[in-house]
Amino acid sequence: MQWIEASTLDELQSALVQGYRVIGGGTGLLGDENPVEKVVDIRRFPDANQIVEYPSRWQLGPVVTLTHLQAWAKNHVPGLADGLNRLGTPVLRNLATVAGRLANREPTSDLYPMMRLLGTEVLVMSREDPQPRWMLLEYEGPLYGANRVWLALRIPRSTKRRRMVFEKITKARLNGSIVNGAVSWQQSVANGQIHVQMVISGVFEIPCHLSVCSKPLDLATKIRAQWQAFQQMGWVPIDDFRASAAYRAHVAGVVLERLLKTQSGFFESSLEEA
Amino acid sequence: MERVERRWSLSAQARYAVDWIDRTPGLVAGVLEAHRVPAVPHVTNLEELRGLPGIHAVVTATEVPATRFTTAGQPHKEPSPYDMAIINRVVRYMGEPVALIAAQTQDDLRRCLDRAIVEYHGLDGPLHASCPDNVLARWSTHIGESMGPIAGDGTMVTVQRQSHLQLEPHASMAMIEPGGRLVLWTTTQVPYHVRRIVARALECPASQIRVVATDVGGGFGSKQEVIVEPWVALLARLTGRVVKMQLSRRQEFLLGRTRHSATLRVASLWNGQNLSAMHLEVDVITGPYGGHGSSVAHNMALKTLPFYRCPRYEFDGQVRYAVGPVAGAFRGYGGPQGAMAVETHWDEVARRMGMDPAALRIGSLMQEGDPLDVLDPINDRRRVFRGDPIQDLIQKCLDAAEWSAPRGLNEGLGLALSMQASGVPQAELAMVRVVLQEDGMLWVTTGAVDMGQGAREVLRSIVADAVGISPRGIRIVPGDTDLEAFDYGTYASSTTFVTGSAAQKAAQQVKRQLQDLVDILPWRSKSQGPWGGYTIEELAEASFYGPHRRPVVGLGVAAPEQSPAPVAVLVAHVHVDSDIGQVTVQRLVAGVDVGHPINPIAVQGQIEGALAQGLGYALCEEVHVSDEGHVLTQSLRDYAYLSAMEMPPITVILTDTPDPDGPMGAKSAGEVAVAPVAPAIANAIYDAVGVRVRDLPITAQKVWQQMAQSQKSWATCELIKQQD
Repeated sequence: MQWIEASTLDELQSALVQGYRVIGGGTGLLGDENPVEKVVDIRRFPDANQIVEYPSRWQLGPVVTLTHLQAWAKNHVPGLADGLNRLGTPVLRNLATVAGRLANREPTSDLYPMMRLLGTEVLVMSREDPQPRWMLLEYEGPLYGANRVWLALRIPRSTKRRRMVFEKITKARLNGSIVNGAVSWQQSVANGQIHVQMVISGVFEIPCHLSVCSKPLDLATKIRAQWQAFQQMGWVPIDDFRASAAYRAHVAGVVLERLLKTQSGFFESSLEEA
Repeated sequence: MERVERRWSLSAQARYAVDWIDRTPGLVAGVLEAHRVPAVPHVTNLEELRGLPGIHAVVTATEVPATRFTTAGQPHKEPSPYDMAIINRVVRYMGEPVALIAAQTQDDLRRCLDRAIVEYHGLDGPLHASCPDNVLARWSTHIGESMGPIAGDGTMVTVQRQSHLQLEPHASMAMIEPGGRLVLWTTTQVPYHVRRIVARALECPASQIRVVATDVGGGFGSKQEVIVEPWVALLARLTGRVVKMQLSRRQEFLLGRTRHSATLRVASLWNGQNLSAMHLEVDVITGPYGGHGSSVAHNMALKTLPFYRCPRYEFDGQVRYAVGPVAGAFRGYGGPQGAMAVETHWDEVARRMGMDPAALRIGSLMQEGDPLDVLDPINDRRRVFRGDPIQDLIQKCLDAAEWSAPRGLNEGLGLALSMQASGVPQAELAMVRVVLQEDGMLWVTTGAVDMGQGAREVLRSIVADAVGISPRGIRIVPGDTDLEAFDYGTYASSTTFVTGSAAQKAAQQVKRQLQDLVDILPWRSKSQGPWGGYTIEELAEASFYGPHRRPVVGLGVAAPEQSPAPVAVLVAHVHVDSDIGQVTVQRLVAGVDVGHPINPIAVQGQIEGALAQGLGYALCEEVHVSDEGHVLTQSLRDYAYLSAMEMPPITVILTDTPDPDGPMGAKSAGEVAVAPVAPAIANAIYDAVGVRVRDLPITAQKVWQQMAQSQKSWATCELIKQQD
């Protein structure tokens, strides 16, 4: 195996042109079973393992570990810190990186729903386009594919005003994830309307995104309606050895209700405060 | 990366097989895996592959010895069928070798595997011509006078394949010594069985092979199988080079072994609250090869039925070949399957009778002196139960788990029992050699191996106790077949009881010889040393260089008739999330009778480990296999297993009742606590939410389905009531 370290964009671009791959996470990829002939290591990139605070955003290096993110989030995005606590075990969180966990997509992804709700963006470069560009974290699209490198992630600071809760249903803590859901909400000071977003993964091949802006009283009804619409859109729930389609759909419904219940508690307290 | 390897090689001791592999230059062995089964494969570009750079050998089925053998590491002549060759002409499981390859490097091996073209001629019909109906064995054993037909369907459970998940994969290295002897370094629980089985496979005398068993980084029965050893041995013989192989985790799932899946049915006949007859019926899937199948199936009965006093026992069953991975020995060896059926049945019967499940069991339990071999009417008194009264142990566990306290919402407690043996009854042999070295150290040579269970410490304690010296003065030398310490191996919870007995005998001889030496040496004041005034170092020197030149050597042989039964009682406390069926185990209380625990901390570790493995078996672990025989769970990302964080609080209650036959009064401890976990949890779930899951693993989905069905049934009942 050829292994080089890149610490500048030029070195990285040069490595990509020579056919080196950037591997984020998935240490098993380097084992006997998944031979990789050329690997470029970007751990020495400036701030690769740092979380840097800017006036409008927090910027995360791609090899920031989940443990690091969790420790940071405690003071900045408590909902994210709580959610991260339910991902794997401390051993896994010490090793797993944010970019690795997100870039190795899977339908039952657990980090994706939270990071998506936070409005995370990814700084991407590719062999064809050496100019790095910020793109919104989405489950599909130009973020993924061969020769793409995630150089950084950023979370807008406006996220701080949002509240977020995460729910995870799994066969076993380390693996066998069945359904994950995250909800975030924000109340407008001007008109009292609440903007609720939910991302549920594990039901369909692609995590589904629900978004409703409403007065508190109508909110649950609208979310449920949107969820039913998703189910009726012809999307086929995943049916595999981990869980049946029927069970996934049922669990997603339960997760949805629980998340709604959590945020309704918040609304009630908000209304009382108001 | 090179820097790391260099540092490793400088600092580390070669302790495990993979260490030897890493440090020794040699050829890399690989498997050209079957992708269609059952079929006769044909490598169409064999000569091209052989001509590839870096390829030293490519061997197919037509070029290996035709002798058939079993990979099950059991004493000769094995109860397992000889249904396997080193490479079989018919491939029967996905990943089975179509060819074995020896390459200069991993890259050469990979290129060869990538270029290989294999055509398959698919086969219909039975997996083995000798078994037209795929039934390897069938039996019907009915003991005692019939009290009438056993009515009702009883309790039917299905149990799944489980992976051993041992940390260290299978790994072996082979070389031909000058003179032609084959030397095998391997991670195995059974070095002498490896020697005999490889000798048979290669058609050579056993003494032409030396097996060096390394420390084992986790076995649980997986290394009671002789899988990679014949492969590297064959390639070493063909190439004359060092050949080494280490399975990947994916290959562990494909080429390794699993716990036997099975369907079991238990029924019982009652006269009031008195048990009149028990019937157990098993249908066991052994995979495409039969190793351990019949033995495991019989142990499903032998480890469960004797628990309950009964005038009549009936045991019917069959072992079937089927596509999918090969099943094999696994910690508990039939006990977990049997316990799931029998202990679930007892709970169901108790509920039906309106009785406390604990009270019903206590009324029928075996007592001191009751036979353990209840299915062998001629020899049923050869082994009898000895130990603490089981009802006392049950009561301690019930008290600790607050059995009688009111349950919280959706909380429940479940009870289950299990028993094991201490080595295979009437089928164990161990030799241990204890030699006093010149410097006063005692070297203890044994064919048993340490696989993390603490064999070294236990043998050291036994020898120290018998000789009367500090354990620090003892060195254990395990697992080398050239060191003349024959041993059936480390399985069936045998090491402490069987090898320990041999060690104790050898140590007692050493003590006598030391005393004899003291008697013929000049008298000295006892204040100068514990042995008639001599220190052990002085005696050692005198034994080699004194006027009498009498080396101190003890040879202990243990071939026990007895195999005392350790007993485990488990109470599980669970909470069920009634919305989604998710079970959270809140606490496990395990009471275990292992005779006298020689090393209580190690025993506690064994029990906790067994409970963890049992918990995975109960809740999530399953090797999923498609109808075509593909293993769907080929990685640790897919194979669900529990992490340390999911372990509930555990209370272990150890009794201390020395067994008269055990070394220092010990029985076995390694396996007994695996079996009761699944039925205890199933029973606790019933206690919590009133649904019975009889299909392992008890996933949230299954609980939810049962709850939904139960509510539907309840709703139907209500509807019928209203209509009436």
